[in-house]
Amino acid sequence: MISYLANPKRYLRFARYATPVFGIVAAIGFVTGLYLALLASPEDYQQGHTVRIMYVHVPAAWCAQMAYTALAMASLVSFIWRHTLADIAARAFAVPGAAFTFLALVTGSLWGKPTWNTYWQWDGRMTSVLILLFIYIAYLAIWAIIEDKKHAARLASIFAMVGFINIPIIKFSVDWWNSLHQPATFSSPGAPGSSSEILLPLMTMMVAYTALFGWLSLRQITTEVLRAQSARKRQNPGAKVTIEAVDA
Amino acid sequence: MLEFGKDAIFIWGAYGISAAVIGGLILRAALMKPHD
Amino acid sequence: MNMSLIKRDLKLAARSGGAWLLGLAFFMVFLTLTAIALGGDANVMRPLAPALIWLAVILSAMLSFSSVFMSDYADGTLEQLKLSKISMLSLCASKAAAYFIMAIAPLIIAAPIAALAFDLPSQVVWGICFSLFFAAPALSVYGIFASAVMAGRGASGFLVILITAPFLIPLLIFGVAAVDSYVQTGLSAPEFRALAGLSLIGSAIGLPAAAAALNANLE
Repeated sequence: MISYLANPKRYLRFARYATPVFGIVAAIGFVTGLYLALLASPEDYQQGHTVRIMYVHVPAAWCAQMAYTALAMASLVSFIWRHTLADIAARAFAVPGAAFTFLALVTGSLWGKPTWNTYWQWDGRMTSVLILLFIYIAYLAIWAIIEDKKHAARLASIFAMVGFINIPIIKFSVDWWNSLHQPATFSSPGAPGSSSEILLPLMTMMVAYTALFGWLSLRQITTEVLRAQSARKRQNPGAKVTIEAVDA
Repeated sequence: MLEFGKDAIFIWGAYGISAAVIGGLILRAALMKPHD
Repeated sequence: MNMSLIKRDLKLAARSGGAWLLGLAFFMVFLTLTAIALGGDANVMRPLAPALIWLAVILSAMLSFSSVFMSDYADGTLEQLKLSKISMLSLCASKAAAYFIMAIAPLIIAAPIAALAFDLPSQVVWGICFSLFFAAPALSVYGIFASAVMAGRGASGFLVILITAPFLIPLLIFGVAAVDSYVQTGLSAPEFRALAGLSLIGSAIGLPAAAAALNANLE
């Protein structure tokens, strides 16, 4: 599918119908999800109503990680095949990805305060998400600092891949570190059981967040592809032929 | 407001900031101009 | 790995009038400031010492990363090297080796002196030295990688730090843990194997990535 979409014309045709589809799924997902999360689901036996924060925290964290995976895959394609569309895609995934990472941290912090009376804990998951935020910031900084964007794309793709390989290493190290230093009971607010009353709002919000990410990315990729096309057209206008005289 | 008890402010804070950031992302994307 | 390249770097460093000592100076300043900030009480500092010394090494390394390719890019040497038969991969490996000799090895030697400042028993000192030694390849390679990405850019110090920090965190985690484990179980502690593994993986990823980044910067 990637090589199919790599052709800009085909991509644009795909985006034409895919973008509103993602948008509508996201909209319906959020409306339903918010209703379920805030109104139509029960409070948790232990955590009370604060479990509702899970419905915005977990989807954000999931999108943060999925966005980076997409970014790394696009970077790989960009590095191997030097494809502009892959560059554009990787860059498009970065800002929403970083935003979701930030949200995961903030909502996680707000979940922690009522649960264990502390806004921040250096536990395995939150520390890993914080490090992921650093990686996003570094990636965006590479794009921002290097003026020649083709050049920036190349360096950013290399960094993205190194980062991607490191993420399991970092996750493993941080979890191991956390198990050393925290008593076993200090774990992140866990998903309290898997009853369908909890799963339904959670899954709905996951779909909503994912569809939103898709919509956001498609919008940016489409805009950049069109911008690149019109820039090329301006530089290479078609040849003009004028006939001066016709000899009978 | 919905009865969330003493922790309501954290719940609203979490949803509020999520809405703000997501709203910002949507606005940013909506203002991009794909000239179709 | 190219011996003449390594020798060249060492010679340049020797002639640079002590610029290569920047890392070592920061290391000592940082630990002094730490001791002062903590009140100078040996009982407070002793349990923190492995962490603080490791922190000093990582921070001082991050400060010296940006200069690795700076002068070679500026005076055109990098382009010359690329035109010659030397592969960028070999160049990066040589740079990493030279960096280890100039920047990391002095810290490993200075660590026992720092340990004196914290009144540490000799077992802990050995633990610190061994943990630094096992982590050194990864530390050097990620530094070369970040420097290669930013080669030729002026004020890039902070971005080099931002690029390397996530990758140095596992080293920090296992490094500090290795010191504590060394006291109990010596070199057979699993943390040393973890550090060795990190160094191997780091080199396998970082050196080709650094070579690719140099190639990108020299296009």
